[in-house]
Amino acid sequence: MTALVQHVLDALSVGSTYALLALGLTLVFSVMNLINFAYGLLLVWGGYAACVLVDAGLPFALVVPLCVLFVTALSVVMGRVAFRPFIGAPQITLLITSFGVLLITQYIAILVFGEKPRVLNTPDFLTGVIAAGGLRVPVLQVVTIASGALVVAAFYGLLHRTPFGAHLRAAAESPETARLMGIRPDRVLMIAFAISGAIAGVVGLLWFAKVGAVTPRSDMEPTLKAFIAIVLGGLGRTSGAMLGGLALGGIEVTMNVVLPSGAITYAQAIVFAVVIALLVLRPGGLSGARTEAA
Amino acid sequence: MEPLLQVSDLVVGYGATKVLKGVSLTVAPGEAVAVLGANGAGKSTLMKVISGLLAPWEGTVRFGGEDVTGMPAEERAALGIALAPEGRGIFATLSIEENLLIGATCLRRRMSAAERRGHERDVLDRVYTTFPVLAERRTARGCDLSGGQQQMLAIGRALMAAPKLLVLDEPCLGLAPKMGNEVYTVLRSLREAGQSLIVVEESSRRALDFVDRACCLKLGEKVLDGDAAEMKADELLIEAYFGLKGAGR
Repeated sequence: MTALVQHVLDALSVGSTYALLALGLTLVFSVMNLINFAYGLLLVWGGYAACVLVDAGLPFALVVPLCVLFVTALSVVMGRVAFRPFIGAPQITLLITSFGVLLITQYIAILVFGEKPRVLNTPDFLTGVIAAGGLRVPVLQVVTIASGALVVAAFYGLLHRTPFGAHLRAAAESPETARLMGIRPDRVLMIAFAISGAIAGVVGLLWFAKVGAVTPRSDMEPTLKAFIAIVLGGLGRTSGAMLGGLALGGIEVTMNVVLPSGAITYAQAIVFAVVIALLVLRPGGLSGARTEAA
Repeated sequence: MEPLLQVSDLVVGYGATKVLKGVSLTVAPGEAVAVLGANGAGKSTLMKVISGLLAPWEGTVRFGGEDVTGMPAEERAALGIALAPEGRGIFATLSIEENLLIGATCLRRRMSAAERRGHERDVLDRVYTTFPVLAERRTARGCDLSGGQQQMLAIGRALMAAPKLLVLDEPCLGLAPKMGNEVYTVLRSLREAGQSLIVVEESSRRALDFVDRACCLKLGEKVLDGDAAEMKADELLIEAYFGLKGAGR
């Protein structure tokens, strides 16, 4: 029983990280049809920012908001400089642009920080473990699940309770009609990049607190996981992205539990096989959305 | 009097295909104008140019004495052009009330926050009084409405912007005749209240009954422009000549 609770917590914590990643990526996709391959670099730069600030001796309680703020700003700059000029451009243009942004931001990171991993020193309490009734729950896991829930709640509040949110949803559904209402597409895009950046800031901290070190190429895994989660959940839907993230976390943890030790090496391959099988059964993803722009 | 809208010698198309071949159109303040024509005549394209969704290849658009030819749709909306687009353009995932409120977005640049809130309340009340069915279903999502209700919503949403010029692209398309009559009843009352408007129709009969002036497009050219009453007298001739179908609409 305790083992099962432990696995569920594992799955929730891994899944909520993936869900947030997928959410941030989907948000920009929904208003611009942009699949932003540079998204993982936002995490990397957030990770480096955390390293620098922690090493400078700032208290962690200050490092967190500063990091989120920095990544939000970075995301807005990225959107403004690289993507805003291409509003309405063909998807292939956006795709190539995002690869360009990925390479540029990655090589700047290599120039500034070098290829070697940089250790992120997190405060001791984050690496602690809560022991209760036979359960041993890492503090970071609790923090991850709580942050996930908090970010999702804030996101839905913003999306469904504010005029900005209504504008975002309108522009995601029909950019042309939204313009007829006087909604500026460039402004909607910048808001989407800002929210997406704030989410990336939070996930970046959680991700590198868990991994323990940042490298300029640490973007690959989170970006890949985000894409799988998005495709799994159903492209272009925020609810689908989160569902896909949680499902992916569940599948991964289950694989680690049920696979015999000899097969653990192939866990990732098996996860992909499961995802492909799911998509064969439900081509629109778990949420069953139409794959309009796929 | 200076025209509210003055479209001159528009040439525009998609890709290499020319759709409008030098079309001009004026609307005076308080005037109701019908744009008639068969499918493919270029009516919707003309409305897209007027609303700013499509930039013309040649020609100019002036609104309220200002040249707005290069102005994007979102800024023209703020100036007072409200288009209820062909196909209604209801946001399916937004509630009825959200759809209506979003129609007032363009007032942000014309009014202060307090003014706008007051205006939103007033117009929302008025729209709900005019279309009680929208009030009943205000929390329903756009996709849950019938075609007729969606059209009511599209007109209501356009009115939220307090438009100087209301542009309706085929407001009765796909509606049952009874529903179409209801739409025209609403348009008639708007017109009596002094609303300037353009209504696009494929069929002439109902539109000619209610506008001051009508113009006919055929294959991207304006072939007729005149007083609606006079045109109505010649209706049979027009229909024979342009192949417009008036029956049943």
